[in-house]
Amino acid sequence: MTLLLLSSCNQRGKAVSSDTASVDSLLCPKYATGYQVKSQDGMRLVDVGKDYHFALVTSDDVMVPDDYTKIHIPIKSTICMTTLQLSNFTILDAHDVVKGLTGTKNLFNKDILQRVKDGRIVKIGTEGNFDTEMVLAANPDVIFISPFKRGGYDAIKETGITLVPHLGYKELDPLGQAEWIKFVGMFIGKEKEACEVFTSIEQRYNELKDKTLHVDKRPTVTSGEMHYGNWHAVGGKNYLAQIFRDAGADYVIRDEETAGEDLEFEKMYELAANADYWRILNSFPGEFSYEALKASEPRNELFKAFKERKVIYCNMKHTPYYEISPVQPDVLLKDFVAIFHPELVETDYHPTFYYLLK
Amino acid sequence: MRRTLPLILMLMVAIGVMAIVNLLIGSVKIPVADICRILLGDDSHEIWTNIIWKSRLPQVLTAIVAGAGLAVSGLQMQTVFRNPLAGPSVLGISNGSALGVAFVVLLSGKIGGVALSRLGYFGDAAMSVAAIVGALAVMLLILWVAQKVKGNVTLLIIGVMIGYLANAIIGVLKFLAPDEDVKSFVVWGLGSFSRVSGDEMILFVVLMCILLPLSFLLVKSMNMMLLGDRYAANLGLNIRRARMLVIISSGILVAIVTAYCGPIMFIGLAVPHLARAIFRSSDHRILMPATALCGALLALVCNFIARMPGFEGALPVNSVTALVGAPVIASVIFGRRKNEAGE
Repeated sequence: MTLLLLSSCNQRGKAVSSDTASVDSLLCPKYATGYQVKSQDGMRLVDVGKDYHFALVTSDDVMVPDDYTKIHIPIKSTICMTTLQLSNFTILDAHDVVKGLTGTKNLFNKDILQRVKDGRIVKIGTEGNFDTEMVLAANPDVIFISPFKRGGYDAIKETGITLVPHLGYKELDPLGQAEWIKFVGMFIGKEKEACEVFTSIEQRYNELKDKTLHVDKRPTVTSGEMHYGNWHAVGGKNYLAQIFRDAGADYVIRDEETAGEDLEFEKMYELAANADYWRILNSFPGEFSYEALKASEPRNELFKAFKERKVIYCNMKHTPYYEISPVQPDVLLKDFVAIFHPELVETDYHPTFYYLLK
Repeated sequence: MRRTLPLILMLMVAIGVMAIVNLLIGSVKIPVADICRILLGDDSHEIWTNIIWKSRLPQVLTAIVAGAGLAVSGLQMQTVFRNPLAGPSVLGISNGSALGVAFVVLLSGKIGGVALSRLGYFGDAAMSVAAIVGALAVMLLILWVAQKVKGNVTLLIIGVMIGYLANAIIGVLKFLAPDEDVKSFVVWGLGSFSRVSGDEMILFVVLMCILLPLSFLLVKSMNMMLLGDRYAANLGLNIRRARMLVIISSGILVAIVTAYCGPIMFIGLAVPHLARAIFRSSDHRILMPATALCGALLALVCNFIARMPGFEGALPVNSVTALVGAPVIASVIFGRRKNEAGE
């Protein structure tokens, strides 16, 4: 019975060897909300959102339940639509499965760039404007898609390639986003590695998070910049707000409901004028500075965090932020903790993504 | 003429009222008494003081001069081309500014490397420069063509063609640009009176306060143009020169407003009709100030609606100008037509 319980989240599987069973139980997402896994009759049934159901099989003669699309694993080739997906493959050391990317602009990973250069990875163009011929030439077993808003997929679907939604970008919990490593791991036959990688991320993240639970003072932090008259503010439910909380700080927008909204300057100013810290992520050519921040919007100097030189900054021109941070929430967290509560990290800590702008 | 002065006064009062309403209401709730104290120089509540002086007031001033500028520019175009559908965008001048901005926003880093992309980041100031350069480049092209061709219609068609050309290039740039840059460009294209702040706002208002009165110097020529080229020439008007001057005046007004507020489409086309309907006149000595005042008022009303509690930040000014302006203006013009039929 114990084995039975271990073998799947839904307790429906057959008893299998204890090793497989523990992997199966580890594969069930703890933080991610976008997918569900259950093991049954020698296959894994994966539900992505409400509408997509995949049966991962290792042998072709397995009968899969209705509504489930059969996918033979491990898949040998795929196309990644976002850097977030690519990060999952990078951390699993599985670049050889990636046969196509939408583009290479702002990519840092040398191995990927080399593969694109010598043709092992093709560029298929942006969503909505795919070069269908390139897609077909890459001949992927499946294509991981997200957020699939702009179409262009019907032509691909007709050729028989399976499209699998990767909803990592929707996760509001930093660990939830990283947990999609397991999802990708299942498809490429590296579920064991994926579980190990994730467990260590989770451990590091939670250990650090626990240290910040009892800090004396929680600083307040704001985020974002004014752009052409509007301030896109991430909501209190956003994963960034979660990282701030876990790092022992409070985000100025406490609204738990929204994931993000566009605010007028005066609204944002009222909320954030006295915030202790101000987090900015952008692609600034050259060295970003307080002068540049003021030049982009004169009213920026009104914020307390500007006056006190407490801007937390990451330049995507120099740092592979989207390429790797989705699978390093623990590192992101540590960067913030090092700023909010330096006493909680080692004294010679070097930030990876965010640092305090001098 | 008898009703002109009271109407002008009424418009001025309405602008004053709307300006105050714009100062009083915004996405942050500030009690009226506090606003009065802040306006009288009290700065004990730092956040509110900054909101009033550095956010709301600049927005009010920007809306007034931008609305007036666009409306006057539209009137000038309609008169020069004797075409009721003419507007600031008809000669491709606003497309020119959009092209300038597209180069900075969408191509940043691709050509010219660091120099251009640095410009791209410097945000609004760089947008302004790019927009003015783009608009003036198109205007010079139009002026050059204006010297070569005789007919107004030919010039109009060439203007429209230049607009299409600019749009086509923008299309290609958008296609090649990454998503976030395209989004930035789209946001710029929605127009806003709240982008200008600080010294830039002062510069903008001062520029417009110089240019608007200057454009009024052309009313005599514009009145003559209404009579048709031949009559105007008989009356001693140098048609080609007058046409050039009006186009330059109109073009510069649009270029500057677009540079600071983004392309705001509707006001330039519609307000001259509104002014004609209200004042029942085609005399530019009346129409020019009337159009300027109506433009300022409509811009303030639209800015207010776009920022009404519940809408804040959600409605782009460009949509509001058309959503609110179109029915109002259509009904005014329709009412006038009916009156004329009844008389």
